[in-house]
Amino acid sequence: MPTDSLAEFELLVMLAALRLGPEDAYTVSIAADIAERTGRSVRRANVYTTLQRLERKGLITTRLGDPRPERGGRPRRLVMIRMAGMVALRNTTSAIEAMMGDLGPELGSVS
Amino acid sequence: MKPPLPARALLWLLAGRDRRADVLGDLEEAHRLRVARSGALGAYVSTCLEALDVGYALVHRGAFSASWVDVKLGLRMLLKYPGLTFVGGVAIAFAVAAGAGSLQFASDILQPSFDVDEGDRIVWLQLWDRERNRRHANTAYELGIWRDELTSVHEIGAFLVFGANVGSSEHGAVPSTVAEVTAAALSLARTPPHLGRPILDSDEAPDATPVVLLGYETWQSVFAGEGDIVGRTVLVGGEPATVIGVMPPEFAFPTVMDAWVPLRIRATEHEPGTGPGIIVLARLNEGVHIDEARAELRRVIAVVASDDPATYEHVEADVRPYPPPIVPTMSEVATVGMYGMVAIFAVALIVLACGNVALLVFARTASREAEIVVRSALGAGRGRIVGQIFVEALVLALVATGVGLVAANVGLKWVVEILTQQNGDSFPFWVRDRLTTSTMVQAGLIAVIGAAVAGVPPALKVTRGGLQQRLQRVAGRGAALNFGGVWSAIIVMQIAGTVFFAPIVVWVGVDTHTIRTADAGVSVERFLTMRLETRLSTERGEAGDAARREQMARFNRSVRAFADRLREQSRVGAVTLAEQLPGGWHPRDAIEVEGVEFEGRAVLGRRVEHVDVATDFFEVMGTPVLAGRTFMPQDASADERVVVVNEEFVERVLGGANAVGRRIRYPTSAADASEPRVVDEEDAPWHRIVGVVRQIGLTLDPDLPDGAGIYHPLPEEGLEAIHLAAQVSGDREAYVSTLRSIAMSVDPTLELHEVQPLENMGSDTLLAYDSWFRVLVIAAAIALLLSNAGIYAVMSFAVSRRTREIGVRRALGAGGREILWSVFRRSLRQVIGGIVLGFAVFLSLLLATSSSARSPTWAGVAMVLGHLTVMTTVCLAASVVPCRRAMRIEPTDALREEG
Repeated sequence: MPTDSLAEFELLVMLAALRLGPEDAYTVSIAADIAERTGRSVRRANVYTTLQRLERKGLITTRLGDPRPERGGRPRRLVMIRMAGMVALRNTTSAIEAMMGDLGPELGSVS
Repeated sequence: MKPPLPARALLWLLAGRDRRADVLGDLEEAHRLRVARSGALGAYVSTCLEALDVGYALVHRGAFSASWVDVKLGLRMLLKYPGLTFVGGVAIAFAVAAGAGSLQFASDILQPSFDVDEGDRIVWLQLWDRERNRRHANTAYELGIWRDELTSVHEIGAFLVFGANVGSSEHGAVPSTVAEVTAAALSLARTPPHLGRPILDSDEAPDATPVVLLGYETWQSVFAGEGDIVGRTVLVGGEPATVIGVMPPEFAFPTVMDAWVPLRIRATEHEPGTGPGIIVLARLNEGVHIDEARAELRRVIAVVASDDPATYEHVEADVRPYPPPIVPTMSEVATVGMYGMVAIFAVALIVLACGNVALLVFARTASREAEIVVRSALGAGRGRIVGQIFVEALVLALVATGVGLVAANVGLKWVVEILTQQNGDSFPFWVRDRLTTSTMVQAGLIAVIGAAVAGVPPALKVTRGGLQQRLQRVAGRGAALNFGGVWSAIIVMQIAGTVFFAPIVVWVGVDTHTIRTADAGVSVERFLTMRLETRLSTERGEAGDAARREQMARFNRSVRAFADRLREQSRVGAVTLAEQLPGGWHPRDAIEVEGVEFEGRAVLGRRVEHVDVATDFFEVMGTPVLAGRTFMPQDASADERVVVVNEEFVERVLGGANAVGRRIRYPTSAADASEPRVVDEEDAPWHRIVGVVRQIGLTLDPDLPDGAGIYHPLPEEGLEAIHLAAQVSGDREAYVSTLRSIAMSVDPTLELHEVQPLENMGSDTLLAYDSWFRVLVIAAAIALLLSNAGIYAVMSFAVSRRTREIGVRRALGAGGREILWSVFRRSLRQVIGGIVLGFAVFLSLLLATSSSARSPTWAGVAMVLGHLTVMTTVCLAASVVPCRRAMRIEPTDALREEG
């Protein structure tokens, strides 16, 4: 798979990070956002692995935030999407939309 | 709300320095959410499992794969190789039991918590005196301020603990541990009484009727569980109090208690630094971190200190979890570090056991080499094969872990029982006598590590090399798979461990026997003994000092009156008093003997036991006087201090010289001196020896074989605690209740502790030695079993691998002796290597710890030589069966191998 497109879980993580924004996107909130929106159980370990992979690919960057009392005075590792990440997101969602094409009625009939 | 310690420790180790902060922060945040969602226990287990998952994700490299079929295969292997299952299972079970027990103990000691609703939010508000480096306990004044001003905590209460008789004239009195507690402090436990009502705020009023809340066990044992106990009047420390309720069985808060009475403390009546020594507890408000509460407490104290800077100059306010860890000032990092050390010990133990099991697994795996190579040829990757063998080892490890956990539960109950027996109420009650879910989860993790050690290295060794090479090896045309140097080293280490262990077992066994058969020097079977105490005020200041003086005077009057009353009883013969009785722990100190030098120094190089005894002590104990005289009534108040010494003192300290008339004194340890010396002549007065008595039991301790003892007359002003020995005819145990009734009638505040026959004195020491001996015997037996199984596995493996070679050598005319030697010499090398290594380590340890008290004897040397002979024979016996098999190999067997 080329680096300018994303696997399914990578896509979910990127979308969650985009929605939460650079001040609130971190492992726990991303896992919670995906779980809430998709209704599926998300292992935080998978989010760690995926974020590491995305960072290695140069699609995101991370930084440590301020210490927070609810975390025992420890900081959050905040996620920011880089330009390459935005491009990969666009490419992937465009590809999905293109493939969806006129399949809407057929997909809608699947119960 | 801290996540479980094992989860934190695991991620702390695996996350790496750069990710540690955020990964642990995520863990804590996620744990808080889980606690809110599914409760403390569910969150605990989920967080531990998630830590495992996250930890694996952080270090995962995609090494191998496994399936359920491997689990079934692993179960089948347990039945197919019963020898390995038994030996490996016993070793792993022992390691898991010892490791899990240690982890549970460490967890309870380092991070204790109450098993009550919101028990993890109970905190201890305290003032720390930095100058004296101790807690500033007299905080009655501050309690009032904290109640009014603190907003980060609620349910602020206080308690103090004291010993007192609880009973009634009808039931007799039993020395009990009683808490004076405020209603708020008791409510922190969130536990309703079994009968009646709890202590209320109104009970704390100075003019309120005195009330008492009984512990369930006290209700049962002292008041025979009478159903109408609520509302009746009983005596607590000699004072009447109305029973308002009974707490549930095994209820312990703020610590192990027999009864609770209201703490009537009025903050407004006290100046800073005065009043009774109390402990102040509270509960953190929802969502408040302990650091925030600490900051608020410090702000409040800073305001108070600004009005009275002198009093608070060296005082620092602090908020700590309650119950406190064993070292209250230990930081979180140090706590995790300490726990990590215990975890490393547990892991090291399993690695050691599983390193040995790996030897057996390797022999088993090598015998299946053909099957494994065929699977590789059919496309199974190395990771797949390694995964399969790992799962086989995991199945064995998990089954053994189940057995180990059952053993750990039994062992923990046993250890906690012993420690509670030895330490009484001072033993922390929150140390559980069973494993918690978290410890069992950790044991499971340890089993996984053990399986990795037992399964992965053999699998890697068997699957090493290219497929072609391995096919040739199986077909008999390549270099055979052999045990390498690492396996030989493991066997040598096993044997060394066994050799090292055995003398220690014998050593402890001899000590245990010495204690069991120790001669107290008196007719122990005639005496009933007890320790007498009373409650002394903990209040500071002149009022406290005056109260203590008065209490001491009353106590000593009551002790004498009690002894006199006993002498009047028909079943009681002679009665005597002493600071300590034969078999109990005697104080010991350095001494000087006037005009005598000990190896060029004035002070004797070892400490000598001494004890205060009544004038009639030797007469009552039936101890003959060998020289001079014993004490006379006027000795306690005479200007010249006198002592009596025993015959061992004369022999060991004075070298048999005449003792009577000599003078001794006790030099004190000065802060600036490395050894005791007389700093102030007035502090170290001379004592003249007036008599020598026959040997009589001192402390029951085999490490103190000296036996030298010095006896002083009981001081006129008495002691804070004193032992009484009474000659009682008939059933001594049955006489205890009569004794308690007599004590109650003499003085209800007189506490009778540890009422027991004299022969039971020192039974705690015997129990400790006996327990230690049993643990060592089990460990030594397992080490011996493992080393023998290892030798057997290696030898059997070697014989089966060399069948063709031995057959050919037979065909070429080699004799039985040559064949035997070629097979046997390897195990002989290992046995000799192990024995030499083990003996060298043992000898080094012996030399490093030896003292004049334990100088080697011929009997000891003979015992060690005998032990070495037995060990060599036992270890070589494991070679007998494989050697016999090698001797029976014929040339035709080699041909069959070829075919």
